Amino acid sequence: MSQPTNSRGEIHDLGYARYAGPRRPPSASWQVIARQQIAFAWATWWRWKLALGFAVVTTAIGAAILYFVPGGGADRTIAMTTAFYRLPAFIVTMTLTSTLVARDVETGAFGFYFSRPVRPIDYVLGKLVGNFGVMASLLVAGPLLLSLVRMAVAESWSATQAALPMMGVTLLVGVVAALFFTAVPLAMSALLGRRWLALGLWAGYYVPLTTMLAVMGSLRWTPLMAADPPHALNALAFRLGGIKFPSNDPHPSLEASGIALAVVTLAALVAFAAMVMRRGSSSVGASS
Amino acid sequence: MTEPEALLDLRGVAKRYGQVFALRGIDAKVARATKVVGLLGPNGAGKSTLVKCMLGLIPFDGHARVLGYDPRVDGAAIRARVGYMPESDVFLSGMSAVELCAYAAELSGLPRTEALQRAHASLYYAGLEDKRYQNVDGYSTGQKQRVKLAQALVHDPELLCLDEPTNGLDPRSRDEMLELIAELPEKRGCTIMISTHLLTDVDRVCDSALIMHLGQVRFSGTIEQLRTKHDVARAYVVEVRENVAALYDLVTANGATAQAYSPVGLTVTLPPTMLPSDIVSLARRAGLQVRVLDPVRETIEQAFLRVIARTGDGLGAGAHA
Repeated sequence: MSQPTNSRGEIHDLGYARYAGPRRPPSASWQVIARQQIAFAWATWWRWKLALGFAVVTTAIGAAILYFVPGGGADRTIAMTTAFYRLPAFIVTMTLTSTLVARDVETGAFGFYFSRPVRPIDYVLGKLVGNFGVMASLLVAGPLLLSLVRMAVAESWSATQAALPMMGVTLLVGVVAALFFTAVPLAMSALLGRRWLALGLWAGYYVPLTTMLAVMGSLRWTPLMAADPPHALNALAFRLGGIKFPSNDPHPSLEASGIALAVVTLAALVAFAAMVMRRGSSSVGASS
Repeated sequence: MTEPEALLDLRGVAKRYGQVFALRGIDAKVARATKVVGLLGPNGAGKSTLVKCMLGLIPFDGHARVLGYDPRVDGAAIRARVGYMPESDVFLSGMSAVELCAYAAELSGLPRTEALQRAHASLYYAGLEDKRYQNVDGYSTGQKQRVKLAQALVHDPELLCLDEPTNGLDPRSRDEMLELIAELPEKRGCTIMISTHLLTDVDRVCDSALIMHLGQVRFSGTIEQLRTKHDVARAYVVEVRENVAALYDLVTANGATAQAYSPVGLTVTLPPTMLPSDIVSLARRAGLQVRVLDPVRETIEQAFLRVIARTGDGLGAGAHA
């Protein structure tokens, strides 16, 4: 099998034979894209592993509190800890999610995808599922693990059963948060098509803009605070779990928070899909 | 016996963007037996639009069959059987060549293990076996062209569309790339469609051509037909053993025009009433021995320009409806 180095364009086929086996249907290509997204995120320490490290530390501290300080404040501990997972999630959006589609636009990867049996919907689904998986490892797995720890350290079977609803709450809030942190940066990335612009828009939206809205809401009209994702997610966790807020500051209602998160996430999903469809057909053969 | 399905069968394929026509009723047929077909035309001819229509990426009017499939219905099935090497870079940042090719194969439906094996094989084929684990971002232009060829080949396509495959290559790399392309139909059993502006590349590797201009097909046939097909001129190269001046007098006396290009050779353009065999008869009667009588063969550039310059442009691509 060993052949000399092919430096003159000679043909070396390594026993080439046409592939006649089964092929994956085009409708399953989103799974390949999703898997590649996870592999891409895992490939360097700073895209996902760094954030995962933060999440592990957060989980360890939360678990230690639950173990060493058992009692009635466990639900509140879990609800409060969910907020700490948003920092690593935000790091991932900055190192990965908010630049992903823009990177594909800049490097011509759209042409790579759409000259193959990949439909725009497969691309959208693959990117969403892959990055949702990354986000879920931070925003769902950590809080869920804490809920399990809480159940494990419960003093009685009835206390364990009483902790079950909180597990449902952490799961729901985690999924909503993971969807938000996946869809919105991806949509911004697709809309702008330039890495640095997308990164700037996402950071500007998440940090100063929504914080300003939250401050304005706290001063004038509380429902406006739901436009700030951290406030809205906190409200979901505390109000769904029937937990008292740690401070007497104003907090948005459950309805306002749910609607705000749903509207932003759905709008992001629609914008993401629309931009991919639009860019998809023009990407192949554009330069010839 | 039914006629075998053509590789490409286009009838009245038309596409317009708003008021602008990109394709104006394309009619063309490329047989399965074709090895390398050149898709030629100046900028704005409609080549890119035609490729998009063929791959089922954009809607169009008319009838089209590519590899037996209708692009409007089975675009994904066509793209699974077509390999596309674009002119521009299509690399996924941060990937090695082998990762890129394996990913490309998987997206085209190959199982993971098979995809990886074929990624190695196609990179070996393209001459990148010792560089395949390096990040593509750091490749030279020539190496990138080879990766693009490998990723287009990796899933065993029946039709390979190459867009300016020698673009940006130095003469040696260009030679190597053309060697690879020329051997592909035989080695891999696929047909190649090359879209290029470099007519010398076409002359070297293509056996047929599809010339487009202003959204219409101006020529479809073999390279040989392209270079010898004259609508008006009936020009021949005639060489005699000696006394070319006598031959000159003979043919011009019979209504032909002639021009000497060597001490024994003339280029003769026959009038409609005269046949090539008449030259031999005239020469024999005058005691001259004709050694060569061939139709004048144009260079590929001359043939291309003749086809493009042909009248009847009328409303073409880019013209408003």
